[in-house]
Amino acid sequence: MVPEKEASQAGAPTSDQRGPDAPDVLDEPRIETSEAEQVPEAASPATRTPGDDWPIILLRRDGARPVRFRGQPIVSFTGSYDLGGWDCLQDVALFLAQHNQIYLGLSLHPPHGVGARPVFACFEVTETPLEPLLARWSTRVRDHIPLQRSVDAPPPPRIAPAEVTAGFHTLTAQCFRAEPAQPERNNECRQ
Amino acid sequence: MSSMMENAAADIVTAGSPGLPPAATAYCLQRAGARPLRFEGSELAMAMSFTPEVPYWYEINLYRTVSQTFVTVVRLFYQSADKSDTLRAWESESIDDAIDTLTQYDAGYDIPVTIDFDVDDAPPAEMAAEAMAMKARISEARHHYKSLAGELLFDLESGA
Repeated sequence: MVPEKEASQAGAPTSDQRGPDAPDVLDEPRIETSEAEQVPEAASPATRTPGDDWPIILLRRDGARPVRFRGQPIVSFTGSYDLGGWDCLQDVALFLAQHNQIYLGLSLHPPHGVGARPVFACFEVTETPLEPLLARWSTRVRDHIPLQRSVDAPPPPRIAPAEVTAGFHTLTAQCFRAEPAQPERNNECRQ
Repeated sequence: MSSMMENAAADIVTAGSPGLPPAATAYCLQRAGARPLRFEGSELAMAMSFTPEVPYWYEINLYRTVSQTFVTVVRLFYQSADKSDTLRAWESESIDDAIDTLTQYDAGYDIPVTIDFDVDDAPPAEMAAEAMAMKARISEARHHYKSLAGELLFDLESGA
């Protein structure tokens, strides 16, 4: 569980703000994270380590708890992504976590009216180069082009795996050429 | 769709009954293939995936009971009046167990098997095409559900 000071930075009410009659847990929907994803307890001033004042970052994932860590954005990029004829919006961001892990957060937002849900993924970057991770993301996005449609919905898009993959690599190349993101302090970054 | 309103009405037996904590509500969830699940508690989180373009949608609920257990509910609704909505619910001892139940749900089993051709006489290419279409529908349903589960867990974690 996140210490109270940190929860306050993330916008959650502290016990003083809740008042004496408020339920102790129902007002704290924050869930326990697994050991690997847990934010360390706040250190005393004498034992503070670099990054203790970094914001808490939550990276959403499909079908799993979000990844939660203290970190800073390294670079982020938002751009359009032609997914088989649909003009989607894709967010790509790299984060440096407090203990020197690097996380890659990815999301793809299909246009309104096509009935497709957004896709969210997060990878810890342990491989060099990044291509295997990006290839996994590209495959996942390509696999989720919806098939079943109502009568009034537009027809399914043309599926062109080569175009999708090429478009993704173009977009991520733009991301890595972009200016580094400005450090944020005392603000929670959410994907 | 046909039973959505009836289910919604049957889910809640009483609200704000004397003797219950102020935020607690008594629920009776009629499950498919199981005994109704009765409990008193409060809703911790809810997410719904309705969009007019898709012929079905999910609603996921997490409840905390007054006896400090947790209930995970997955409802599947159809826009078509010809299909019956379904409800599945499980009670867990901890929030971790409830979330595990939520993330391990396989929406692929919600896709009905529909075969519109003669299996004995259909050419192999047609059977292969049907199998591929079925596989795509299962994959889409799984992604649809996982996307919604990820949304709920993100909102729960961030306090939204």
